[in-house]
Amino acid sequence: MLRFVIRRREKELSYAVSSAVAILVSIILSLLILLFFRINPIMAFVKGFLGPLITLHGWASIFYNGLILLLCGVGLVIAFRAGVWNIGAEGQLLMGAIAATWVAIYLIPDAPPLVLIPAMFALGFVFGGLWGLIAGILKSELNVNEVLSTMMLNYVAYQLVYYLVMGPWANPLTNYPVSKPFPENAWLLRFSGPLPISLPTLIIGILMVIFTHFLLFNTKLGYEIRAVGSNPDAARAYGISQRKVIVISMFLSGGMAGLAGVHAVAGGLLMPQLRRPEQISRGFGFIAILVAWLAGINPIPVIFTSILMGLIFLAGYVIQVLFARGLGVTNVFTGVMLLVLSIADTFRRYRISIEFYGLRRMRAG
Amino acid sequence: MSEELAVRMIGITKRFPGVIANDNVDFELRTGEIHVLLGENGAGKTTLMNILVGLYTKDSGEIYVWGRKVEILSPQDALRLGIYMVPQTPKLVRSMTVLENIVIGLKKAGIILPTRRAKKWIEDIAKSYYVLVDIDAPVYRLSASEQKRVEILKALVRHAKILIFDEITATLSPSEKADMLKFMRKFVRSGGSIVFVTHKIGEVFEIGDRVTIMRKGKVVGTFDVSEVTADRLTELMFGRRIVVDVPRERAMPRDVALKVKDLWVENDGFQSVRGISFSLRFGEILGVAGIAGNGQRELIEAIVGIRKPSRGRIYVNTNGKLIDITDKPTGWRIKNGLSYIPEDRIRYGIVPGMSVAENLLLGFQGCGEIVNSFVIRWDYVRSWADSIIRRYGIVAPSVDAPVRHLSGGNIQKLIVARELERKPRIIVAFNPTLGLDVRSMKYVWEILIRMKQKGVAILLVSEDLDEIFRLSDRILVMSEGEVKGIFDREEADINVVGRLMSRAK
Repeated sequence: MLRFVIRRREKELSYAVSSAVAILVSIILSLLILLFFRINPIMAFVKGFLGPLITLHGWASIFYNGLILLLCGVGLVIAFRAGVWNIGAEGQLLMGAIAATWVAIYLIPDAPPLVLIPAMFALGFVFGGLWGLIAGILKSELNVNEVLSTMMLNYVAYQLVYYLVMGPWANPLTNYPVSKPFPENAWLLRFSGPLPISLPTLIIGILMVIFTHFLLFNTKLGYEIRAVGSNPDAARAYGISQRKVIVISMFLSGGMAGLAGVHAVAGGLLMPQLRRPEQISRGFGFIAILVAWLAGINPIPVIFTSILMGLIFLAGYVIQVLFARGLGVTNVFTGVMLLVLSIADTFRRYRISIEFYGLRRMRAG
Repeated sequence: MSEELAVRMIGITKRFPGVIANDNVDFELRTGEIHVLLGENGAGKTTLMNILVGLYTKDSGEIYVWGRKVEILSPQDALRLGIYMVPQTPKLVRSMTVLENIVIGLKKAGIILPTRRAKKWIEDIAKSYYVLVDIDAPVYRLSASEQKRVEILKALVRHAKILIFDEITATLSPSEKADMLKFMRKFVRSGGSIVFVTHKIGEVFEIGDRVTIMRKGKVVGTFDVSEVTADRLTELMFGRRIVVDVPRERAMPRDVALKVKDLWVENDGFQSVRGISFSLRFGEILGVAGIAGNGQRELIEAIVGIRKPSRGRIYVNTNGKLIDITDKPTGWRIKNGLSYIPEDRIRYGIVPGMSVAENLLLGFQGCGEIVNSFVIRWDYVRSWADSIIRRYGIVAPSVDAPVRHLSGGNIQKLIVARELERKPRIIVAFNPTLGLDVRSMKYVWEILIRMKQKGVAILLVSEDLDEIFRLSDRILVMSEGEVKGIFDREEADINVVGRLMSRAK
């Protein structure tokens, strides 16, 4: 008989260690799963993970994905720090995409890029933020569980995009469910020169990381956010308004996902236009939860974890296209990673030893 | 009473970073006895028991149960040997019924739902041991003491023969305590053994057959209770005779600082505070005596502003005028001179994940002196925090160390320091010395007295009658959410107060 003995570590491992191990293990595991489908894992690794790293186009895709994840992820860091479990980044992202489309096609289509692009991001932030705010206010005023409300708001946003591209905003020139293309002034890649990475998003992304770091660790509001998230009872006993923290953190969190939505429609290699929701996001709002978590709910490491997840997501996509049409390889990757990461978090805090008959002892972790 | 040994622990040593929690400890539990394990906080009693139930592993030493050498690596191991610890705070699933809580993980109770036979069986056990509790009631409806009974029932159903009680009487009323005692006697008569962990010397004589005293991780003696005196126990427990004598002088009554008028406060649909009125003056300590759970928590939470009263008003003296603060937020109250020393330090007093400096900042975020309206200047805060931990003698590695690494006494010192740094005009202290060792206790008492002499108004709510009588100028007795009497300290008789406290029960 063998059994597991679980004991709390006297000193927790750092997130850097647990995340690095988790990423490595989950990549290996995912590749091994491919064996079941007669796919050579080494070939898959080479083509999927190394392939994108040696082409310009590959880097462009990594950064396109990565920047969406960066903005969603850093927003989630704020919500998670406040103890608010926002799983609605997907919907907030879509609202940002709607805002960008509205600004670019209907509101000020003729404006110069220096007006148009900031306006798209600004309104994207506001739309995403308001979408988050709905869940925030429901929680603060009526104590509605934010996991449910943000989840359901995802579906609402999803259907809203569908409605727009099929109905009022549908492009009359085609039967595909897409909007008209954005005017050229709204194309984010036009400033990027030879490297097709959206410069405006990159700048905004880095600024948001710095902003979030400063907010959380150097401001009164950030202090209140962390206190509420870490011990709401004590925070309340010493006069910190929980309602304020919930509402503001949900607005900021949603707003940053909204910025990601602007980038998702206007910052890729594809023609900028509003498309079907699953073409805009493909679950980035959920993968961003992994990004924030891998970063140990800290803003600065999000820069690395988001780009890395951008690569992993792309690798899954490439493997899917090259080796396994019809197989959801990206879903395998993210699913395995979610599992491994939750296990890694347990290992980070607990020491687990395996014992045989209580005689010999094997230490793991 | 059989002399057979239920448990024998030999040379147990357990080190934690920086401390030896158990240093070569020997401990014996006989079959059929109630053995009191006595010691200050941090003496190592709980560590020793945690080793016995497999929550910690020993670094060295041997354990024999029923004469057989054993390795206990988990609570499951311990249970297999018949050892069960009744936790300080019950660990139950609140939304499930008592029955469901008891049968969790129990094969005998039926595969899917507890069968009628299982239910009957459990009820019989409960009856035969005088552990009375409504077995079909959902746990969230039970009082704290009823929940403890459920924990005991869980142990009995699992055939536990060795029960460990860790500071279990902390929140029991005298009648509940009597019930508990009745159960313990019955349990040991039918062949069980009990280790009763406590830091209250009085309980040794109320409860125990034998007593083992621990100090600083070592056992300093084991006696039959009939052979030992309270003085001797005190001496062994603290190493030398500590006379806790706090200077006191009569209060100089000044203006009213805090006035509560016909206050009603609800908790979970139950009127916990029922029409309380009193006033507290500057320069006095008003002690509120009462058994836990008679509305003290709700009263305090209403005064501090965490709980909205359903009726009545609260007034605070601000610049010489009594102002109605009933609807003011907590932050406003703190800014206007109200300090709060909460009962449950870890839950309400600190943010465990944050550093010492960040915890000292708690409550100052609205004040503008330490933190301006937006940005926190950490250099300034850290040197400010550093001066506080030096002035108040808080033992901490640095101001950046996580506060959860501090000992209980130092956490309480930190909270007291922070609350005094606010330059309060009114202090609300709730069981401020609960669970502290004598030195920290004395520290807190002296500070409260000093603040009183400076003219601060202090509302001291405590379950410790000794503390109430030592510190208070006036004593308010609270029971079932009502004021049962207010006395000047000089006129108050401890027996009268004690009777008033428990009259309703």
